[in-house]
Amino acid sequence: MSFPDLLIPETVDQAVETLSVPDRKALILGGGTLVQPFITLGIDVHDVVIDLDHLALNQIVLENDLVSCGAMVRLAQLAQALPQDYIQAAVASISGPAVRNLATVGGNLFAKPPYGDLATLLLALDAEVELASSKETRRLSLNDFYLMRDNAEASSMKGVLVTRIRFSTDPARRVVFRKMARRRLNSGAIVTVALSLRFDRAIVREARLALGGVDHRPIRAVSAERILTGSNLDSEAIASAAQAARQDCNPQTDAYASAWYRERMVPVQIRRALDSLVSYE
Amino acid sequence: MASKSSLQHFSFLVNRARYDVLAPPLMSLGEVLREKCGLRGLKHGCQQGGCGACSVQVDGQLVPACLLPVARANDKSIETIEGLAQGEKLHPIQEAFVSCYATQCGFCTAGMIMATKALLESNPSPTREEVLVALSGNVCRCTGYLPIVDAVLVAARKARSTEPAVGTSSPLRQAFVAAGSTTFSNQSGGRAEA
Repeated sequence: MSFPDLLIPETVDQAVETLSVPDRKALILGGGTLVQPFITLGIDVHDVVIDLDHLALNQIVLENDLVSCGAMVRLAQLAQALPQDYIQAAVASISGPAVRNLATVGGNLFAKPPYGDLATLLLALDAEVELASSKETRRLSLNDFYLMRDNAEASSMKGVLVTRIRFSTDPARRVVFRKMARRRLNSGAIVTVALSLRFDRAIVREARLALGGVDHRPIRAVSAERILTGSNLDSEAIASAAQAARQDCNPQTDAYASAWYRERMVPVQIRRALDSLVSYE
Repeated sequence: MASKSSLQHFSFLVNRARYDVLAPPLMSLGEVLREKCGLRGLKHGCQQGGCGACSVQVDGQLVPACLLPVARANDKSIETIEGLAQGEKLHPIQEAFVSCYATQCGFCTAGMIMATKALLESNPSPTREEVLVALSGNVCRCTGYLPIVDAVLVAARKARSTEPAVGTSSPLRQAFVAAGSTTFSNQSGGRAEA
């Protein structure tokens, strides 16, 4: 059994430099929950593994409603720091307590479906990621980051490191997190719905609807968002937004559910998420 | 091709005894504990954090040993199932598992008991629901979980009560009743957890 070498940089600059070495396949080790199984099984072999545990990226800074969360913050740590029911629900929906002691917020952005439930919520919260590279440090919305990753050549993403995630817990927004899974606890998503709405009286002024488990990464259901924005969330708007979201996703079949089933559960779960807001009003 | 990573020296405490091992830094702690330290209480299950059979505590925190590279266990204090019993005297959680028939094949038991230990350290009076959440990362293919959940509640109850049991019924029965057990007197069994 052979293992890749482990490199342990002590600054973000060092980490980026180490990542950027040409002709070397590097794997980033965050919490290890996604990466260690591959190392153990010796599949998807990389030359080096780069450990992010010593870069001081494990701090959560709260400033009013703004949360700045290091990429290496553990899921259990996030749930300790943030009491919001949607954060609690999203974290509790992921695996079991032992894995949540290791799994990181940054790592969840890269979890493939049916995982990535926290990333789905962060997409609805319009989170911003801080990217470090050898050239610069910049901030990008999580949505733009995903779009860039979808469209960029893999080589251009080499040496880019997510160091922080920022988002707002502004209580003026109404946020709902719903995960549909085969089991109530410790199960991959069939469909995850994360919804963030800002109202002006009864009218929706801003709608962000993110879906998890139904595409190659968490996605925004933009067709549904367009219908919701400006509506008063009557039953007609809810029904047509829920249906419209089917065209925004591209679900796959896995051991948890077929693509056929997932597509049909998308409107059901969106409608339930929206209904929970209406009855609350 | 991956270069064959050289062995490095790691040192940690397991159940308060110091171990010095030579291992590749990315070998999982679970493999190191089993193959290099000879501690075979934890089991290799799925090797991807999905089953909980390799759960151990590292500096008090419950983790699946399959997901922690040994490099991250260096200088840490690790607790495994082997550290619970005092010679022939079982730990109260182990006693509760025995008396509640909470093990069948035993493969999940070490992980279940470590998850229970971590739960009761942070929450000595868990509700049934809190027990379900705390054990949600541990898979059992034999018992149907009910006797395991009972055992956790019984262990919690026993740890809390310093007073000796009185009355006509047995201490175990009292603990069952107090824990809201569904299996002690319910002969029909097979009730699904909500």
